Order: sequence, then structure tokens, then C-alpha cells
Amino acid sequence: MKSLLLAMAVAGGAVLAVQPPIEQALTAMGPEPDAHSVWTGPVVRSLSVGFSDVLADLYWLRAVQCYGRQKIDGTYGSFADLEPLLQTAAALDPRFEMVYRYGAVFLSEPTPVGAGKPKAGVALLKQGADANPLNWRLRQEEGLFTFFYLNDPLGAAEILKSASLIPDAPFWMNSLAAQILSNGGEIEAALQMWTILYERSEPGLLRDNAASQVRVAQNRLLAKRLQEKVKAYREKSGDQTSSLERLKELGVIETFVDLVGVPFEFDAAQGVVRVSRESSLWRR
Amino acid sequence: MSALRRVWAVAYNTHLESVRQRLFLGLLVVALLLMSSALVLKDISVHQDLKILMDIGLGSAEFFGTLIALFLGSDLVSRDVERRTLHLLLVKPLSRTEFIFGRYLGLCSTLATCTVLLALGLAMALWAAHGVFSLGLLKAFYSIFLQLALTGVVGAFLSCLGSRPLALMGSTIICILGRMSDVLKNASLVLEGFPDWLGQALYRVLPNFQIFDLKSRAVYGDEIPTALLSYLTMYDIAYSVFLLALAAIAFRNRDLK
Amino acid sequence: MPSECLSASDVFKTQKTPFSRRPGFKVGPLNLRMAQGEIVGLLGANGAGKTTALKLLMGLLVPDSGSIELVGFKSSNIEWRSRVGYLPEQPAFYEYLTGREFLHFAAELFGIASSTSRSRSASLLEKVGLAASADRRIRTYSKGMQQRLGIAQALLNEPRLLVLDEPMSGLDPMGRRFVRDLMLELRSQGCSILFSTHVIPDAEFVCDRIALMRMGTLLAVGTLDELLGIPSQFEVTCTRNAGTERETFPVAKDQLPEAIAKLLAQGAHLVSVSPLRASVEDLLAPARVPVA
Repeated sequence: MKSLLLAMAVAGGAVLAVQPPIEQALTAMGPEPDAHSVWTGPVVRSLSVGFSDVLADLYWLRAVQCYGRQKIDGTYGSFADLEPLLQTAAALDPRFEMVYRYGAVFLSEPTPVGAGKPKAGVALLKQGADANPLNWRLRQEEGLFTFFYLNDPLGAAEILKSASLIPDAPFWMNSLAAQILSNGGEIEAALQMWTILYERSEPGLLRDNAASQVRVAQNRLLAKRLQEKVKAYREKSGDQTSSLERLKELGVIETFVDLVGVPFEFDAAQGVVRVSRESSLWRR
Repeated sequence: MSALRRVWAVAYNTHLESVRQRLFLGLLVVALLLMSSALVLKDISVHQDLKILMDIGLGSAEFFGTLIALFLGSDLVSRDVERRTLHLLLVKPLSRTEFIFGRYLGLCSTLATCTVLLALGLAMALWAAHGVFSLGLLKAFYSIFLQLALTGVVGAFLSCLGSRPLALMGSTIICILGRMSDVLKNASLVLEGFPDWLGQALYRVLPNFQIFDLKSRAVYGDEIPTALLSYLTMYDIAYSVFLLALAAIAFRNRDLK
Repeated sequence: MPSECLSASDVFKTQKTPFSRRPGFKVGPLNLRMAQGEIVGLLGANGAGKTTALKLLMGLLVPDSGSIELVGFKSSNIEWRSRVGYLPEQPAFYEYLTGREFLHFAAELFGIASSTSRSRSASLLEKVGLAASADRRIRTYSKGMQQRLGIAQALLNEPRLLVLDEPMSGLDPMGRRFVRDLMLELRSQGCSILFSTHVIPDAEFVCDRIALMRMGTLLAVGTLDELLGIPSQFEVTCTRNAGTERETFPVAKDQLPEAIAKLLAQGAHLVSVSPLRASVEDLLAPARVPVA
């Protein structure tokens, strides 16, 4: 009995002691080429022997894990496995709406939030919208993502128009398209559309993302307004004051910090006001 | 010395059991199928036949091995209790601790044979497809064996405490949890109200099967440091000794009906 | 008592079914002492607790209280196991082994050198009548053959104490006789034997002493005479006229020699003379139990 207890104590200590060096050794080997070792889409589907839906769920879970793990580990920019995992989940269950919608956010958002692959994100939405021709929401998001992430107002408007033709599509879809065309690329349009997306998405990650995008757009809008005021003041007074702080003291602008309290950057030579990289609302 | 001899006798007998029950014959069939698939895959996989072969070879070793480890492990002691074969053994100068360790060593030798058989199958399949069985693959197979031994010890531990179905269910659940250990580790970041200390404790205490997964690294030819393998071996041995000693304590005063 | 080879004092055990509210089956108090070279039969009806009692002695069940000593060792010191042989009720083997392999395996556990193990296994297999099927898998053995193998493995270490749980069960009449003869032979070599049975003649035939069990309790331990009393009358059966007439009558103990001489002189054939007393069955029957 005594020797057994002793063995337990020694072995238990060893179990705990040997874990950190294992973790170190594994970290030193670099991130794992996860999904590359897994066959993608069609192969898995043909091997799924009738369980493609379950497999799709598993792949989806794996994609979420992969996304979450890399965010937690801080190994940004190595979201390489995300796309094949999402593609496979979509191939296994083409009507799995969340795969396209969430997947597009994961892929499109610039690092460190996402993989920074907006083309892949929009392509995934297009694939989903093509596979589900009656789903106006997927087509709508394809349009919006084309606008937000690819900066292609013409293409976006086209897609939104085709979305408005889908039965049950909401009435405002057409006006959304028109709006994009009228002031393409403008921050106001982006703010409006993110606000719509925020109001119409279910609580959860998509809604949270829309909410933070609304804040980002509001923040940019604030910077734009400040810039306009500074420009008008300079033209009127000829004063070339180079500090936003000073301009505030002069009463030209109401604030020199953004919505989260980080001072804006001011390029005095060009007269441009920018969101600081220090700010959590900064986006590329 | 005589204690070692008794442990060895029990281990050998356990190994013999799987030989006589044609376990390896079934695995040989799997290995043969693997080899013949090499010939087919070549034509349909667009130059990916070697990669797919290695994926199948390593994957099937881990998959079948885990099944075998779960089933044999959870039967290891409980079946002898339930069938009363133990009544003939534990009245001989064999202590219950010796019996448990012997049974587990026998299981390990069975699992090692399984791994070797499937590794040989893959080696021959690769040979048929003009590929090479690399040192990395050998290391990956070794790591799979360590993983199987760890799966087996969980089953063996539970089989000392309860009936066969309970041991099988319990070890399967622990096996699944241990394959999601990083999820446990980070659970507090995702689940609101899930205490961080609990996640960390579970992560440290439950067997971590994820650290043994070197399959894709081997397939892509990443360098697998020998130091890592030695650490993994130490982890395996320490974990096994801990669980077996705990099992022996729990089994010490169990009534054999 | 000279050189005691088994002693159990105040051993108690309650066997409870887990997750059940019913009171468990109680065994005890068990108080039993055995001398070297003695055969004791543990006699009781089905469910009397014989097997439980033997398992307690063999350490397979852990007693709630009491102390057990076997061949001079406390039961906690497993040294005793190398000098004791045990045959469980309906022994279960690793069926993928052959009979010979099982004996070799058991010999390994006893720490018997492999050359000794080979010769001893062979002679034991011969002795229990399994020589011809020694190399067949145990799976193919009949119940009686498994019982014989069980006896062989219990004798492998040349035990000083042999504990047999229902050794005759599953055996044909030839087999029963073989076991009885074997027990007598082992006793003559100084081995003590404790065996359980519910078949009274088996016990009466070979036992030096009988231990009676009922409902988990050891009622009485003693020789047949002690348990049943020394008979004062005998029952004499004889035939006359070449077996055509048959006669049975009681005779007092002190008149027995005369009565027999007289019968023989009359040309009668003596068939049997048996003591007239309460049988063991009477003792086991619940109504007439003389509680010890």
C-alpha cells in the first residue's frame, strides 16, 4: 500500500512536470498543417457513406475550433486551414447556411480578426447563394461583402439587385443597391448597411460583428467630419496649426479623440485625419 | 525477481489471448487492404497517392488501435472478475497489483504488435507505390503506439473499478475529452461562467491525446524532434504508473463474487 | 491440536448488493480449526453459505471482521498461497489455452521451475485422466474434464492444505470415486483437505470431521459420532433360503456379535449391519437443528 501511494505521488508529479516541455517542443515545431492533411470537399463527400450531414457538422465544428484556436494562440495570419475546412463543410452539406455566413466573416475580416482573404469570403458566399437560389439573405450578404471588403460598389449593386428579385426578399434591398450606386465607397453608406445588418441579424457572432462594424464606421465618420472642419477652418483663416489638440482649444473641433478615447492621427501637411493604429476601432 | 516472473507470465498470457482470438488476423486483413488500395489510388488521386496512402495508414492505425485499446482495455480486469477466471489466479502467490500490471503489460504488447503490423502494411503499400517509409513515419507510428497505450490504461483503470460496459463507456468518454483537451483549456474564454481554474485543471489532469498527434507532421515531412518523443514516452509511463497504482489500491479490497 | 493448518476465528461477512436496500446475506461467525492431515467436509444445503465461507478463507472475499490463519501464515501475508491448493466451484479457465498450457501458466505463478513444471503437469494430467486431451483447447472440454483440470491445478504446488468447493460436481460416478480415492490418498501423504458438498454420503465416506452449515452459520463441527451420537442399536438385514426371504430387525449394540453368530449358524446370508441413529439429513433439516 505504501509503495503504491509512493508510486502514485512520483508518477503524478512526473505527469505534471513533463507537460510543459512537451508543449514547448510542440510549439517550437510551429503551427500544425491541420486541414492540409485532410482531404477536402468532394473526396470526403464520396467517402461519407451516407453521413455527409454529420460530417459537415464535424467539419464546421473543426473550422470554428481552428478559427478560435488561432485567435487564442495569437498565431494570426496562419488561418490557412480555415478555407479548406469551410469548403469541405459546404461541400458535405450545401444548404448549411451558417457555414457561408460565418465562414465569410472569418475569411474576409482583415487580420488579426480574420484571415484577411475577402475574395475567398465573397466566393464562399457566392457558392452558398448559387447552391441555395431561394435564399435572399446569402445573396444579400454576397452583395454587401462585395461592397465592404472588395470595395466594388458596381458589382455589389448588381448582386443586390439580383437578390431583390428572389421571392420574399425585403423591400429595401433595391433601395440599398441604389444607395450604393449613388455614393459608392462612402462611409455613410457603409454605416447604413452595417446598421441594417445589425438590426436584422440574430443575436450572436454575426450581430456582434455588425455592431463592431457600426462602431468602426461611426468612428471613421467622425474622423471624416473633423477633417472637413479642419479643412474649412484652414481655408477661412489660413492658420496651419498642426495639432488637433490645439485646434480643439481654438474651438475649431469638438474633440480630438475617437469613440474609444484614443487620439486621432493628424497629417498636418495633407490635412488628413486618421484613426490611430492604437485604437481598437482601427481597420486597414 | 519472482514477482517479475509472475508479472511476465500474466503479460505473456494476455498477449497470447489476443493471438488466439485472431485479433491480429483481422488486422492483417486491414494491412493487406491498405496495400492493395495503393494500386487503385494511384490512378484516381492525381499524384496524391503517397499522401493519401500515408494518411490512410496512420489514420487506420490510430483508429483501429484506439478501438482495440478501448475494448481490450475495458475488459482487461473486469472480464476476469465477471467470468471468475480470476478465482483460479488470485489464490496463487500472485498479488492483485502484480496481476493488474501484468495484464496491462500484455495489453501494451498486443497494441505494439497491432501498430507494427499496420506500419508494415503501410511500408509495403508505399513500397508498391514507389514511395519511402520515412523516419518521420516511424516516429509517428511510435507516437500512435504511445497514444494507444494511454487509451488502454484508462480502460484498464476503469475495468478495475466497475463492470465492462461501464468501463467501456467511461474510457470512451475520457478518450473523446482527451482529444479535445485544448477546448477544455480554453473553455473559460468561450463559455460564460465556466471557471478558468477548472478548465486548466481538467487540461492538466485528463490524459491529453492531442499531444501525440504527429500524423500530418510526418506526412508533410516536418522534423519530429527525438526529445519530444522521449517526453511523450515519459508522460505515458508516468500516467500509466499513476493510474495503475490507483487501480491497484482500489482493487485491493474488492470482493470477487 | 498438533500442527494446525487452518484456523478461522469469528469471521463475519455481510454481502450486500450495491444500490439495494435489502439486507445482505450474512455469513458468520465462522470458527474452524483444522489439524494437519485431516479431512473436513463442509456440509450444507444449497445456499447455506458454503462457497462464501470458502472464498472468505481463500481471501477472494474480504471479511468484515475476524482473523484467518492458513498453514501458519496470517491471511494478509500471501506466503500461504504457495502451500495451499484451491478448486473453486465450477472453475473458469482461460479457454483459449490448452489444459497443459494452463498448468504451465499456473506453475509460473507458483514459481515452479520450468523443468519441474513440465514433469509435474504431465503426471498430474495423467493422474486426473486428461493425458489424452492435454493439448486440446479448454474451450472443447466437457464440464467434467474442466473439473478434473481444476483438481490438477490445485495439486500443482503439492499443497499442505487443499480447499475444494464441490469437487464432485459435474463428475460421473467413476469420477466421484476417483476424487474420493484421491482425497484419501492425499490424506495419507499428510495433506489436509477442506471440501464443501451437499451430498451427504460423499462427506460420510471420507471425512474425519464434518462442519455443518445452515443459513450462513457454522452450526456444529465434529466427527460423525460426535454429531450424531454413538449408536446403541443396529439394524441387521439378512436373507434366507437362497435369497427368497429377506428379513430386517434391530439389535442392541452389546448383543450384536451373538446375533450375527446365530444368524450365520442358521445358514442365513448377512446383507448389512448399519447403526441406527439420526442421519446427517436430520441434522441439516431446519426443524431439528441442534444449535451449537
